[in-house]
Amino acid sequence: MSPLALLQAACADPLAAAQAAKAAGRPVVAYLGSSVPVELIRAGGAFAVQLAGDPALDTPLSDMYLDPEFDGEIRSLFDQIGSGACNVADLIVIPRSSNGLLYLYYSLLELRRLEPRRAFPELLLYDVLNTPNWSTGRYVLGRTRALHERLGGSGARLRTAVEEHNALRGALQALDARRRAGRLSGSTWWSALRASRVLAPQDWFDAVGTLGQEEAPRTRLMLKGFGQDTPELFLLAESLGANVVADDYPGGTRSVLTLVDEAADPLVALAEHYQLHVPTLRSYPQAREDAAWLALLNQSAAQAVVFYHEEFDDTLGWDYPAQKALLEARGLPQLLLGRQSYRAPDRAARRAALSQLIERIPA
Amino acid sequence: MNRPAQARLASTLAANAHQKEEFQAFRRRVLEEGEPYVIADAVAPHEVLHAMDIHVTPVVWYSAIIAAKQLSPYYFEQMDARGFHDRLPRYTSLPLMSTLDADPERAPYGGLPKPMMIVSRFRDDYGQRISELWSQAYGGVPVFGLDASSSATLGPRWWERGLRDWETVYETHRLDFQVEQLEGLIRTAETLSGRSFRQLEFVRQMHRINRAGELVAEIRDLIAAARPLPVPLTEQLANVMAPTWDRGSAWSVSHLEAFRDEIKGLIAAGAAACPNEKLRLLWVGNGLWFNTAFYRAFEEKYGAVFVWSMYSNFLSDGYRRYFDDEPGQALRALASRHISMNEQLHVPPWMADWIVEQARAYGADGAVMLVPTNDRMGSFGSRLTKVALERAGIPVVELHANMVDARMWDDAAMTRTVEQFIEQRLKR
Repeated sequence: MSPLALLQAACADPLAAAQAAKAAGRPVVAYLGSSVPVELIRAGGAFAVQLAGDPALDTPLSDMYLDPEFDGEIRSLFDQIGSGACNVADLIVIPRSSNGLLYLYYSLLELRRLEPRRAFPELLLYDVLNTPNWSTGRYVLGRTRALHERLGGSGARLRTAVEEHNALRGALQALDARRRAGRLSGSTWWSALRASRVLAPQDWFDAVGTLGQEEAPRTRLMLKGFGQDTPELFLLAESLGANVVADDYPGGTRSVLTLVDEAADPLVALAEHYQLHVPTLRSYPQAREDAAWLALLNQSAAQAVVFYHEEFDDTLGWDYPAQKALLEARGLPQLLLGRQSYRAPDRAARRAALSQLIERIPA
Repeated sequence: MNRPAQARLASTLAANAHQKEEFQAFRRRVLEEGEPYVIADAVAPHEVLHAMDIHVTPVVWYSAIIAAKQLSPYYFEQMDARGFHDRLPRYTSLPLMSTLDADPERAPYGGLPKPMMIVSRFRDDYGQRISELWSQAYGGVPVFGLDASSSATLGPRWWERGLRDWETVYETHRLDFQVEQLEGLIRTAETLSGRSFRQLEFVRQMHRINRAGELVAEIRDLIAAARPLPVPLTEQLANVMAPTWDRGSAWSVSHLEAFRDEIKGLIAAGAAACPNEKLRLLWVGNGLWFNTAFYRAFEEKYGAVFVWSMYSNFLSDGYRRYFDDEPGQALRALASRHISMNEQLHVPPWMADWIVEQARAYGADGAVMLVPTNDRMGSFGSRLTKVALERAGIPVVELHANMVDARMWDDAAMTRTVEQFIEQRLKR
């Protein structure tokens, strides 16, 4: 199996490595989003695996218990967890990094109350907040300490976990640089990033270390908006002769751009890192967020920006008019893929719109 | 023999007049005398500012006023024209649109002048964005953001345990953080206004809020036990919401005493909101602010009367906090008031358990549930609450509409939906 095929296989069967670890007698702690300190899970001796939404899966439980305006990712996770499909995990840590994840947590607790015989893992809320205030930082530090106490692990193991996870971030940054240099496709980047969250670290390093150079399409796009649970948009761009060379969405490139401070007390460093340096929908203020994605835009030399908003977006639409104006002032084309259905998007319309955008980009 | 209740209670007229006079007087003081005032979320600690004699305009109060004056279609068209897509939240953004429109002749009561600051509690993912846009619309005013911590567990019967055992219910680490934020808000308000936070006045107001809550509890028990319902839901809303926004004032207590006495008199006189009362309904979810007449649309044909909405007694169950004389306890009690309001009103099991309790107390036969479209913070708990109510034997019908966007309301279709519900699931 080629390194890329190995990464893609891990994405296609994201619990396989966790099941192998479990079979070998290791506890498994699953987590949602990108705001849970994976370092704490690993320091506690558990196998860490990220659960993500899957638009290909049916959601009968959500249809019964959740209102229709929940995001597709949240509905998918509700069904996956509530149905017992993630029972390889001994514990699932849910960060309060979006309202959707918080309501998912409460809705799953309510599901357990309504159907006590339904078996799914214990849930733990990590109440991480993303405003840049000092008092908020102290609160997040307290919640991080509480999570560490729950997961266990010595200070020495925690330092090691921080170093190892920083190494992983560094490897991802190197891949991102290759993408910007035109030698890695956006879809491969997506697979490598997702696989880093489901594979055992050494298996991931082994695969990524032998990943060959690619000749990516020359037209350069930035993708911005909601999180991407599949590489579909990246692949669509590639099929139309363009490469997504930069992205700005929760769980994307910006979530691995900053290393955790290894010289500091690890809990203090982790708390600050997940409060301030892993962007979420709740990161604030907006001027700081805009500066961050514009820096990525400049660095990547992207020629156009694709905004991707899901069907029931109540958040990113507030930012869009000003962001659109910023791009217009720079003379950069942009496309809004708005009201996108999570499970059944209008793929023909999406393809046509993206194709038109790419045609507008000067050769 | 039941007598029809008079069209408007004396208390209602007094409440409406008080609100209008207060707003106009405050606006005059702001414009003519440069007095500071604050725009704040409903779930923000207005008490801190009231204790400094700083006027607070609650965002959703003004939103409801705009909707009631049938101005929401105009402002939402402005919102569309500015490139904000039409699924963005309406309830908390409507007042921002009135500011962006910058036409005091059109805006209710002349619109909102430039505030000293905007206080926003970051419970959802978008409130901070609305606050920042609003600040920019005023040319830049400070936004004081209150972070929203979350409970790990939502235990049983918050409306009873939270009155006194709030330290346990709302969790010590969350209260520590919220007190710290309140202290920051006090210092910020003092710096910006040049006024001092008056501790003694604050404690007095906190006690008055408890007294107001006790009166609302008494009123709730009177109304819940009375057969038939003595006053329509619309009258309940007017008389409880005005003291809620003006909580802590001497007026709020004296008004609720007058309202209670008027209710007692009506019950003694056999007054009926609907003399033909046959079915008792709950209104679950936010108010239908542009069409409160809908609450009475099923009385004549079916004898179906709305007896309760979440505003009926939230001032009693959600606001009361008893505290001792230890230094700092009043502020800590205040900290516990707002940090879980969203969970109480919109998140099961707290939302569901409380509403089932009200259904039983009021002898409800069914519930009409407003599931907000394009305001999903208010809809996320609806389906699970419906399941809980149905399991408790209370049939539920969902109305998918927005609480302030009249453009999305199809009166004939909504009426038909409720009529079918009554005929097929409730009629005995």
